[in-house]
Amino acid sequence: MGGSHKRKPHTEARNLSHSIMENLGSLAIIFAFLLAIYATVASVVGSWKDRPFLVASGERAVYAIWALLTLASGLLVSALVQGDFRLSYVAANSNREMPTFYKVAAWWGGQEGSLLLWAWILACYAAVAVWTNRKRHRRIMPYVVALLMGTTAFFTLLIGFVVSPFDVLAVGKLVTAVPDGNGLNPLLQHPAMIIHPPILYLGYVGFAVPFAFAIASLIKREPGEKWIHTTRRWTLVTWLFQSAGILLGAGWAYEVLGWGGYWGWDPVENASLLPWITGTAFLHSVMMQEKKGMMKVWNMVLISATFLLCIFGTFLTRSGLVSSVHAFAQSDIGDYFVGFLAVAIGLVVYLILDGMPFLRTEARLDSVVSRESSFLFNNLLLLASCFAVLWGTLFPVISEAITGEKISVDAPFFNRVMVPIGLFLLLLTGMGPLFAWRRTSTESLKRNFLWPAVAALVVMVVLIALGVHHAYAAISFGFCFFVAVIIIMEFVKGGLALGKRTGQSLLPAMVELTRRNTRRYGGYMVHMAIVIMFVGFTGSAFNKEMTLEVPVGGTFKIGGYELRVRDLSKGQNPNYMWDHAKVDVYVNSKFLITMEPERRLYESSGQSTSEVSIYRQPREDLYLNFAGMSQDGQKAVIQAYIFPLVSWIWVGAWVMFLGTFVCLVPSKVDRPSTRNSLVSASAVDPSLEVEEEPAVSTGD
Amino acid sequence: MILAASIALIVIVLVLLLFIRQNDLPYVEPVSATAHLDERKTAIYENIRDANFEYLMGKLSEDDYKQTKADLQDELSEVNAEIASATGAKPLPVKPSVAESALGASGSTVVASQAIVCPKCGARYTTAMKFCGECGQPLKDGAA
Repeated sequence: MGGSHKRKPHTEARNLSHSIMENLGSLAIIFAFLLAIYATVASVVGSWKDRPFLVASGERAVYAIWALLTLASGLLVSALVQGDFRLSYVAANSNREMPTFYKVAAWWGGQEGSLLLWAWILACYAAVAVWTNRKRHRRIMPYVVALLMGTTAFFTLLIGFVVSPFDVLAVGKLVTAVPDGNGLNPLLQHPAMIIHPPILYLGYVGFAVPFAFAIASLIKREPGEKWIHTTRRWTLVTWLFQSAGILLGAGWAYEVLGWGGYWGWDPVENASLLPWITGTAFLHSVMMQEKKGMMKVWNMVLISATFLLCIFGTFLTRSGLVSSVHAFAQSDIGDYFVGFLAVAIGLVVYLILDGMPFLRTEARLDSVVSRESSFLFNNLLLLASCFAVLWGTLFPVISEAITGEKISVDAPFFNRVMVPIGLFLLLLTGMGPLFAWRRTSTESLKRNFLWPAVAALVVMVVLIALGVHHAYAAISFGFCFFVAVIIIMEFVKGGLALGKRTGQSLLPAMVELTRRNTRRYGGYMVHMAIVIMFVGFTGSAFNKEMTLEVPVGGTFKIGGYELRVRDLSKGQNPNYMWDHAKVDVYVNSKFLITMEPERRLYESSGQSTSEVSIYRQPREDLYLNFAGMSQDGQKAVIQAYIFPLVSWIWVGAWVMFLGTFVCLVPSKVDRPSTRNSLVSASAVDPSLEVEEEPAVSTGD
Repeated sequence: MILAASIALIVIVLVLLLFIRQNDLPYVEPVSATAHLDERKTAIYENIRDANFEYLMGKLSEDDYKQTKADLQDELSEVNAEIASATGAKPLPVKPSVAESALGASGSTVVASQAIVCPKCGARYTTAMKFCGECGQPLKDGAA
């Protein structure tokens, strides 16, 4: 002991700046929490007591919260990139060797950081919602702000006081640091996983905005459907992000998990699917409210369920309630989520029941065979599927609570229930748009469905004759053909009808048709994407697989392929050690391609991953996984799979994104036709009085 | 240093929250008695336009097209009546619906005597309409 320890000035400055960093970060979050409470209270009181100052102040607080959470997020990312291992979050999720983009991705790699991301995205959405509506919806905006800020208060409470990303490592009262961190989970060190969580969160969080508008309009008994027009694009963009997040996860699982499964009915996967299902139902059902003033109660229930399921999904990942590869480490925050969900559910149920006289309409369904009924069936089927997935996901928890034994529910249950529901939904996708409003005559049914139905039956019979004995697969292909024909006919018939009026040929007329009604024809494109994806899903009924131990020079066959292991090698880099195989593929003795699967062992975490090799073709994928070396170390354990039609799932995904983008584009407004010749009549005879009808654009 | 940064942050936020100009205070528009009804009318016109196009496409049979259009025009009449009553205009006379007249229901002589005929295309209406639903010709003061 003794001696003086002279620290270098730059070390002192660095320590000081780090100290400011975690303190400022924590302060920013706590301050954001207090402001969120203020914004909630000020907005409600300001509206209730007619105090515009409080309402304006509450809205200003939204911008301040965004700035504070941006500051906190920036500080955390800076700590991750610089490697400030005094912060326990940085030590747990980053290390020196990781590339910079993975260090940034560590922001959402752990519990605390991902909750901060959730709060920041919500703050961004809230700020945009407030800014874009600063001069409209003034009656309901205070309640929109209150609902969004109430949710923000919850998340800032968690990251401010319960699971702070700015907690420091400490020994007694002394702040300490580790020389290096654990690094990001190797499974997350993949390009798809860099963007999968933030894109999924953009979906999860985004549903808060249409929910806030819906409930605010209910509270204020706002007549009309203005809130739907305002939130239509919000909902569509949010749904797009949710879909992209789910599909990215599926694509990642296909490439990384080593067994070619793109969907395992994992509880956390299910948790992302649940709000997607109710969000899809809402997107469709809300059209009924716009066009016919019907299904108002349904829409309130659906958007509320969607928002609550988003919170539930966030909770499921973190509570330890269910076991999942996706789950974060178990923590105490589950109880907070249960409390928030209980309050939110109670509030929503009370408001909807109290608002029933306002929501009810006199309109009734006249016929089972009508467009209205098809929307109702759509809602019922989607809700049934949502319930089935929820039941299967929570069954282990329920069974443990009742019997004391955790009974897990695996893929066979979900497939048994979801496949028939999915096929019915697929059928409805084609049939629904062809029914007339209120009732459809037999003649219309024959005219629209007869030939597509006959063609689909022929396809099914031919497939069965060719050896497709899997019942669901034959039905699925038949339904896919049926719906595809109907959708194509919609474009062709519409193009021909428009072309007759405008003199255009078919293809330009179809493009013009889409431009004039982007919602409808963009929607048809999304439906076609679903058909394409169903073709991909159906191919899984014909999967082949085999697992073998093969020495260098050894060969084996799968499907129409002959495979020969040409070389096995080992190596390492600062991040991981690897075993690498080179496998030559032949078809009918002709060389096709060399595939190179690899196995990696990450030293910092001790975790191993598979780098599979995939040969993709429209008809099927050949998929090789290098599972490791045999016991004697002389042979490679190779898992080989054939996945027929699986690439169509990813093709369908891109078509879905394109179709959604088309839906978002404003329709071209054709003034003479949309005003039913009113304007043109007045142009001919200026002495005529023309009532100023609003321009009718089916795109907005 | 940390204290100074914290105080600065608090002061900036308080200034943002509390110093609001009169011009920036939100103005709550008065509730319009007819805005939602105008929205409803717009939706009905869109539905009529869609039905016209679906008939041209061959998606709807002639019966379904006539029935759909008649139903929509009835809806339009109801909305117009609500707008009239909300604005204090002269209430429209209660007439049999266009649907009944199109299908030749009983009371057709009553319908015929009160019929409004479009000067351009000859379409007949039993309820007062400002514009012809077939060709768009203005029907001034609800009559030909």
